[in-house]
Amino acid sequence: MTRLRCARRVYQLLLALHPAGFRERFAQEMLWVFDQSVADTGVCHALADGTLSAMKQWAANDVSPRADDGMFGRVPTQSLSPQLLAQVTILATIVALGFFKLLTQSVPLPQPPKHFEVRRAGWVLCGARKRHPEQVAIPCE
Amino acid sequence: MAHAENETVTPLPAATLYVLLALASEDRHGYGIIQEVSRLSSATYRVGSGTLYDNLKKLLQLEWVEDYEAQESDSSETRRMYRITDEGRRVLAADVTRMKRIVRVANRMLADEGGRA
Repeated sequence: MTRLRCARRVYQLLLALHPAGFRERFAQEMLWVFDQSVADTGVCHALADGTLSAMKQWAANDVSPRADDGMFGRVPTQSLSPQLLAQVTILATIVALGFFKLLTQSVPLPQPPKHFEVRRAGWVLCGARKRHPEQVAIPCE
Repeated sequence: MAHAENETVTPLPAATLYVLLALASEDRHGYGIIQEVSRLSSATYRVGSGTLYDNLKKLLQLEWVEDYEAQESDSSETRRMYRITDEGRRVLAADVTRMKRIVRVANRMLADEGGRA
C-alpha cells in the first residue's frame, strides 16, 4: 500500500514535469487512469510510461503538428534549447537511478553455491589431517 | 471502401491503431480505452496512460478523434469521453485494408513455399 502511495507521488511529480498545455488538459485524467490501472500494469511499467510521456511531450512541444501532414509529418518551428535539454537529461538520470534502485531492491542478490561451503570445509579438514594425521580419520585426496 | 482500397496509406503505429480500434465500437473514456485495448489484444499489448494520452493528443489534433464531457451513469462524476470521427474511421479502414493486402500476399507466398517443399 505504501509502495503504491509512493508510486502515485512519483507519478504526480512526473505529471508536473509535463509541458503546461498538456498537463492542464490531460494530467487529471492521467492520474485517474493511473489509479485505475496501476494494479494491472505494474508500478515500474506505469512510471516508465509516465517518464517517456514527459520526454516525448517536451520533444513534441517544439514542433507544431499539422493535420494535412499526417501522423508523422511535423514541421519544427524552433530548436530545443540547451536549458530544456539539460532539464530532460537530469530528469531522465534521476528516474533511471530510481528504477535501478527499485529493481535492485526487488531482485535478491545471488547466494554463493552450497558446494563451495562443503569444499571449503574439506580444505580445512585436509589441512588438519596433514598437521595431525593420527587425530583426523577422514581420508583426504 | 473502394476509395480506401486504392489509397496509399502510411502504416499506423500499433498504439494508434489499437486506440482507434477501441473507439470504433463505442465512445469510451481513457481507462475504458486501456481496457478495450487489452481485451482486443488478448492482454498481449498494454497501453500506459502516458502512451494513451500522447496518442489521444495527436488524434485530437488530426481530428481523427473528438472529445466531450459526459456524466458517468453509476456516479455523479464527469468524465471526458472520446469518439472516433468519420475521418478517423476512414483512416482506420484504409489501414486495415492495407494489412489485409499484406496478409493476402503473405498467405500466397507461404502457400507457394509449401508447394515447392
